[in-house]
Amino acid sequence: MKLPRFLAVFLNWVEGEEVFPVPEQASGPFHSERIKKADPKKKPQTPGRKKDHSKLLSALYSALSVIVCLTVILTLLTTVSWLPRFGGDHNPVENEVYTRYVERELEEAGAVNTVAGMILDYRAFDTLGESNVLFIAVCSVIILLRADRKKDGSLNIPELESTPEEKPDDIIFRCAAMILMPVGLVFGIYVVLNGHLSAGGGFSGGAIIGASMILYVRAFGSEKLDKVFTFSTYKWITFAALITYTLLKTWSFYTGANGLESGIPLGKPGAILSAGLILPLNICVGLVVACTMYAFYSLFSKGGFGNGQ
Amino acid sequence: MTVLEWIRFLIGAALMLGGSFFMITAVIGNFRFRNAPCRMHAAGLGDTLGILLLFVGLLILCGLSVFTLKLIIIVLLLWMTSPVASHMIMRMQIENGFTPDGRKENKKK
Repeated sequence: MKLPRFLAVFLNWVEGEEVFPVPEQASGPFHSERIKKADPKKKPQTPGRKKDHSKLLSALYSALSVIVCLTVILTLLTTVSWLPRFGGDHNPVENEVYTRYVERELEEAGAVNTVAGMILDYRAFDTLGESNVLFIAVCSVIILLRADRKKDGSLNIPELESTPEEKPDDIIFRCAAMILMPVGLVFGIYVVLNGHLSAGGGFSGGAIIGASMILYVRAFGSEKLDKVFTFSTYKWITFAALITYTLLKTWSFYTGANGLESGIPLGKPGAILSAGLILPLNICVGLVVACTMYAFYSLFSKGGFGNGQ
Repeated sequence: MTVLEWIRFLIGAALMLGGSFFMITAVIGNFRFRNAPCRMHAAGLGDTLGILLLFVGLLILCGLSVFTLKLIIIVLLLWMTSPVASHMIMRMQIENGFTPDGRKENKKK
């Protein structure tokens, strides 16, 4: 199959090939040193055997990629053609799970946002596992990357001590961070607290809060945050959030499975203090996610956070 | 009344077409240019002027409502973040010894 000529020329041009001849005399700082494309005819001749080998390999690679792509496309298209038609008469309508979620979620979980009701009420232990995964990931990164300290408090790796922390003394960046950081923090808190009423929740809100903290540290240095956010702060925040989550949800599941009265009021749907346990669970997840994002950043950039132990 | 609505639609559509033009320019520039500053220049153009034209077109098409405020806030946020990001990339380039056309400077000492 051959592309039309104008299309091939356009595609080559987008790919960065010099389609139109460039005048050699073009001068100035932006024109003087164009990277000249190597002429394919003037390629340094490699020994024949090696060249054949790489050529064969690349041909095999292209052929295999085409075959894999075509197989995937064919499989997907066949599967799609076997699906029931959208809105057809004979579609399987007896999907009890989704019907239950859509119809009874508001009275059972009390959350206007059905997704929040699913992940934090019906499938709450799944979300607990996800939060634990974050915690375990940070623990592993601490084991691997934390810069050790000697007994007198100096770092074990002297290069880390001598290099000052990268803090760009840039007025534009600082002004932007000064305006954006509080907005980001407040917006993140809003997303966490409003997770059962609108789109959002613990994971997204925690990510926003963590990003705001990273922005603050990038712009103004981490001395002030280090005084507050130490290893033990991180440990206790995460531990308390996970334990609270586990206890609350265990109580809820235990009473629910045994047909007991759980005593957790669902509140009025639409109010902030409603939806039973979803709001505190969202706060727990948001705390874990925010702390995890900041811990990852500071561990990877300077090998630790907080002053002292 | 209908004439006024047609005029509004035409103005909004023209603005959105202009914004799409700048966004397409930014995408092509991102593939076409060879070095980071030039690509950053193209992307920054799309992120500021293209976004502004698109969103002003949307504002005119939608009319006044709560979404107007949201759209304005989005434009303000993008205008505050994207140029700063471009500025920081360029600063890093220069601090690491690259010339504006993206080559490594040979420092002769």
